[in-house]
Amino acid sequence: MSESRNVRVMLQLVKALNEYDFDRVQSLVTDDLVVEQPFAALGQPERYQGREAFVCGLRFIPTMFEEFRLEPTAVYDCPDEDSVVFEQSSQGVFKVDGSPYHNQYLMIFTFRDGKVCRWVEHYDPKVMTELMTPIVAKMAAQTRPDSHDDRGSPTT
Amino acid sequence: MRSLSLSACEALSQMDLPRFLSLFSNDAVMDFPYAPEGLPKQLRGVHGIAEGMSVMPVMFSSFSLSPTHIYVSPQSRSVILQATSRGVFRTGGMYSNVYAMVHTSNGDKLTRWREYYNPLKVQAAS
Repeated sequence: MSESRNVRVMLQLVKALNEYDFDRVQSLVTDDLVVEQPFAALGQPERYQGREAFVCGLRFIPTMFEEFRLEPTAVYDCPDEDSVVFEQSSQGVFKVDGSPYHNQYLMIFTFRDGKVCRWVEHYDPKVMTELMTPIVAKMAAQTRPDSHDDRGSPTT
Repeated sequence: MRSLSLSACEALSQMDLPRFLSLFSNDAVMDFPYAPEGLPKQLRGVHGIAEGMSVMPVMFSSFSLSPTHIYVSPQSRSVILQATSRGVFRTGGMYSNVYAMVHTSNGDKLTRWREYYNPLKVQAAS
């Protein structure tokens, strides 16, 4: 069973994400990329537009995670809709305290001229809220100027 | 594939469970990856699906499931749907949710129904 061009692009994109190679990610999406997160949590927008905004958001990942990997578990090529659907799982390790992160995704990618122009990302907002809320609080505490926490980063 | 998937959505909207179940193979599986604690993550076999889905007409006086986007993957015999629901609880409250679903078939019947719904909406309604 041969991989379509769209599936190949998506596998390249996931690899680039896992390697924090956001310039490569940027090269695989259109300028006017639309991102939809129907289950958006933690104040994230349900929809935004533009490659710059998208990549800017991605650059936050390495500040939060020591490691972050997406692993496709099922791939659905939908040629008539010029789309690919991935079911994926993520495994991550938070920088701030070494605790693990795991989520499951259903992502829909629609293409135009070989690049992703629409990115729909469904993730479990309950998992995100429960795991990320204390992490964000810890990160905020570490960056406060009056913080007396001298334990340093778990990476040091 | 597409019509099978849409027929299943239509049967659910009519809360016509016999018709809904007739569209599944005997060994079909329904998965709900985001199900919160207390709700099933999986229903196995058409009898398990029947038992799990039997709560719908008990819980809702009306329910509609409306696909908003449909993607067909012929290679994997699957249809991926984005959908929204609107329901009225028998107790009087309103319910709505957003879905992404993967429906897989053997060409004749649905063998797998994988439903991603927003668990926060379910918790808010319960």
